[in-house]
Amino acid sequence: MISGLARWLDERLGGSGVVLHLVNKIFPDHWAFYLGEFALYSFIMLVATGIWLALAFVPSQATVIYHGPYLPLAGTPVAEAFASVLAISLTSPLGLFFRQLHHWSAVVFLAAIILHMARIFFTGAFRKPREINWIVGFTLLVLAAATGFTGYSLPYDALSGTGVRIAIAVVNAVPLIGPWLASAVSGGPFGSPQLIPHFFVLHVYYLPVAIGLVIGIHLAILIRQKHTQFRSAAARDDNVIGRRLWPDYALRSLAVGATLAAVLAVLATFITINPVWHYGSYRPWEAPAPAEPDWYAGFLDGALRLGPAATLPLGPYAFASIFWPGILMPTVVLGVLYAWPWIDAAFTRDRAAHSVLQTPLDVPWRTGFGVAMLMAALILTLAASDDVQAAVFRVSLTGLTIFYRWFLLVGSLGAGFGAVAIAYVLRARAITPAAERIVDLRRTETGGFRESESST
Amino acid sequence: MTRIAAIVALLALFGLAIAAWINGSVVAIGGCCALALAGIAVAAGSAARTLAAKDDLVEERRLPPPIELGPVRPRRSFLAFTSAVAAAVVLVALGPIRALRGAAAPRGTGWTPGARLVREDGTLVTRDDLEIGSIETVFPEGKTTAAEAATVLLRLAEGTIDTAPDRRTWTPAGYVGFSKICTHAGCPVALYRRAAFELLCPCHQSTFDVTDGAKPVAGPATRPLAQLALAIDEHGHLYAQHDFVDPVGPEGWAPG
Repeated sequence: MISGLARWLDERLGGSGVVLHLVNKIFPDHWAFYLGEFALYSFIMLVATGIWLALAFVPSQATVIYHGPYLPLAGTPVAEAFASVLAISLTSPLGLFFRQLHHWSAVVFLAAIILHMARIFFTGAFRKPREINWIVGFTLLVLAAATGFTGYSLPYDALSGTGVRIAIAVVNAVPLIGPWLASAVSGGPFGSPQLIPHFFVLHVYYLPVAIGLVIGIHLAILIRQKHTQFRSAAARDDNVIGRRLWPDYALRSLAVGATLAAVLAVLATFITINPVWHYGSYRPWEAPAPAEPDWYAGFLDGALRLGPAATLPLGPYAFASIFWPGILMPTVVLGVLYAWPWIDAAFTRDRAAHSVLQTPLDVPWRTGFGVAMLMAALILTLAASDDVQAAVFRVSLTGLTIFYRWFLLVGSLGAGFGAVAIAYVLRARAITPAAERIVDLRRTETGGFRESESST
Repeated sequence: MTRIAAIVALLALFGLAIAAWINGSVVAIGGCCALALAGIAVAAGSAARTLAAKDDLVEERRLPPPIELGPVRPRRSFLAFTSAVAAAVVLVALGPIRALRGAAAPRGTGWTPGARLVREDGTLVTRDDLEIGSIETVFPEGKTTAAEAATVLLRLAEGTIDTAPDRRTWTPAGYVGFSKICTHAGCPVALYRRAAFELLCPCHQSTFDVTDGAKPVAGPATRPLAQLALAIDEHGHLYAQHDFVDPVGPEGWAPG
């Protein structure tokens, strides 16, 4: 029957050649190559759960009186969006499971993309000819973060509403177009009833469709260029060594993806995530304390806390204090990372095409830069809960802020230079790949070995 | 192994269908879902092991050589024209985006001259309501959902307030009012350190000295919280003399 169907299709589409070519494609194997697939499988989980959630959710900021099973809020005015999230979460086990699976998948989706990009960075996989896919992948990270933020904001709970308020304030500080853009995003002045409907359509339509398209481009380029491979005796820039897509790689990938999905399902079943009913509906004059965002936005929140209290007026306009950590810092970081393939090529003076990967030891300064960036992100994320730390450790909040400013500088530079030093030490110890050669070993009469150049 | 795992996955899928249909407990739904996925994972993994090729295979990796086009030099007028078309396309998009901005912000925050102070539940604030050192969130009467109007009302011992000369009449009986919206990122300045006379924003810890016109003393804010000119009428009710004079809310690119 299968062969009959295949023939039926082939007589009409003539695609068997392409399919055979695809299933016979060779993929190199390494555990680190599965990080990107983690992202792909998380995205599939997000879409699978999101379709249902999008239909069950009510994107409205209108105030309604809550009459649900959650008694602490009974009879109080809440946003309709918030009430619908409570209905999804607390009246139907299926809804709670879907919502938690969706949020856990989003958390893992972003983590997987970042880990995948770190792998690409530290192994030099972005070098020619893969600069395009580096940019495409980075765009994917930006889109994923935007989707995460708009989704996190939809329940219009006290925590996410505060986050939206901050985000709008940041957009409002963009030079020239900021105020204009902020009111277009929120559909009027802050508090406009159009904000949640705007975020909803961005979150369930524009952004996921864009992510789907960009993933398509990403994979098409990957198939065209073929996957990179780690160094081995036989690996060259103009060959690819590994296993066929079918059955080897497809089955392994399926096993890895299904394992990830199973772990997500277990998390969604047993570990509560974002219980918005504890926070209550958003009311602009009330703030939850402590207030912290989802993990991937933590570095921005930390930066806002550490930023200088400095305004630069420009006639009637101004670079507000929120501009430096909220706009300038992310723009510079994004710009440097987007341009990284060219920056790297300029420093290494290596503009040749490569398909054999490097190790983090091969280019110590690049490794150092990457480690410093990751450390800076980590320190900024830690700084996003400085108020909690000040309360727990009974230290002055102002003092802790000053500490974090220095820690950001010293900690990230220290980690970067430390990584460079470690890379040089390890490189000196290891048999460097450049010294690797094929030799003939012969036992000598005294029991030792003698090597001679291989004849092959 | 493959077969057992596949059968487990299939049974778990049927279980999931039933659990989802009756909307059973989260553990039943999630458990079946996780078990089905784990079964698929084990089945695929074990099949991959059985079917795996013995050795690595090698494939050539070659892109077709780039086509030599020779020098292509479009005319300057053509480049100018295409740039102009691109600019026009961008400009066309601006109008529709502008139309999304909805109604313009209403003038003022909602505080009108003579507007009486009410709590969120609508009750009026009178002279003896607040002890010295206590704090309340207030709104203009009839506008308890006007976010921009949210005001922190504090009562301080009368000698402790250090006011600018032109604002001496703004603080009757030790009452001072400040906009509750942080001038840094717009969070509500919801925390009060009574001993230090400081309002603290829970989001980024901007700190404002309420005895000194709510000037920022720590954290990233650069602008004081706007002060509301208060007065007390003959019935002892607190009211606003007029709207905030200083800008309310986070500082952005544009003034205001």
